[in-house]
Amino acid sequence: MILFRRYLIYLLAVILIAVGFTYISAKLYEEFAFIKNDNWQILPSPGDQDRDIYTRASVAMSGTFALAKPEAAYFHAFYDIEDEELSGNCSYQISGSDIESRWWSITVYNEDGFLVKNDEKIYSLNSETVDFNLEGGFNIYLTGDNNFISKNSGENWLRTPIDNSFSVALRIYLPGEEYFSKLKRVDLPIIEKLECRDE
Amino acid sequence: MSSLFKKIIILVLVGFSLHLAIIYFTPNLVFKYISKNWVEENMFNNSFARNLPTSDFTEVIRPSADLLYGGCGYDVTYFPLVIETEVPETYWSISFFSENTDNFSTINENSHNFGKLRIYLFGPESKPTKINDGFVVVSPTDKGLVLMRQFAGNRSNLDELYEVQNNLNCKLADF
Repeated sequence: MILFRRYLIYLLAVILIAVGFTYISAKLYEEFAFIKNDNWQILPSPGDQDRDIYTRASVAMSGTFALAKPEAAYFHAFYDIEDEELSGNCSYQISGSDIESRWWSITVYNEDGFLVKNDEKIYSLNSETVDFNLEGGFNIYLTGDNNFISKNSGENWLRTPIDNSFSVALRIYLPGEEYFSKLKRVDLPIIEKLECRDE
Repeated sequence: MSSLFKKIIILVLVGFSLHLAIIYFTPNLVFKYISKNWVEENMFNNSFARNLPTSDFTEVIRPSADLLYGGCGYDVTYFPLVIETEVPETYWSISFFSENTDNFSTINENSHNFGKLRIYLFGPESKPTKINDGFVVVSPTDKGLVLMRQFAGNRSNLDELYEVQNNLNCKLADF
């Protein structure tokens, strides 16, 4: 009985240590694995066969069946340009210029990583559906505020979840192979906070 | 070195090994979870089609709302898989994922941009025969996923894209 208890304690200790290493590695991975470019972050090789085991596990959990480069670049934003978490209480503006590629799109996800429920059934804007301004750039409003939407109904906008945090994905398909060697420096849209309902 | 210190070192090493095993096998477990109903839904070596993702779509995390997904799960343990499709007039790609979710091959409009397309997918143990009428892809694992993506753009050609998706054909080869 004493021997059994001792081995049970060893087993629990091993599991605790494994969970501890996994937790720490997940935290360190979030901090160091991504290339950061203003408010965006990207894994340089999300679907590649030669990716490390941590990238493979992370992508399987958060973006299963991601394509290898150079097919697509997947940028994600969880924070605005002031490094504040994207919140459903606030309205934001994404401003940028056209991105050289086969096509690109901007999609809003709720905090579980799924598309945001909305009556309009508009979940994303892409290089064919976004309205460009005369200078060739674009502005997209992100908001869950109906008043804000009715004031800006003629503009590009995407609905965000009310109250909860959310994230934005920028997908760029076939941007060219050399694009992946300068992920830190490429020009990307900026996400700025405009107003918040509880401020 | 005291016996307690030795025990702690051994526990840490075993714990770290277990951690590496968890990380290593996570993608395979995710694949098993996603494919758990494929046998009942007849999705192995048979094509499937999905509508454009909406907020009700929770099969895969972070789906693209601009892509029409179709494809087939595959099991090429005994026979290669033959995939046949038409090429649409928009961005499209057919990508191949092994059991650990690696994207080991992608065929897109840069490789083939018009008309019908045939792809032969062989298993890791098979010896590909000479193929003259299509692309040859060799999977590193017996099971995996073929995923076709079509860009829906402004939705003006959605009917055509659904037709391409419905005509996607995956079947085991008889040689």
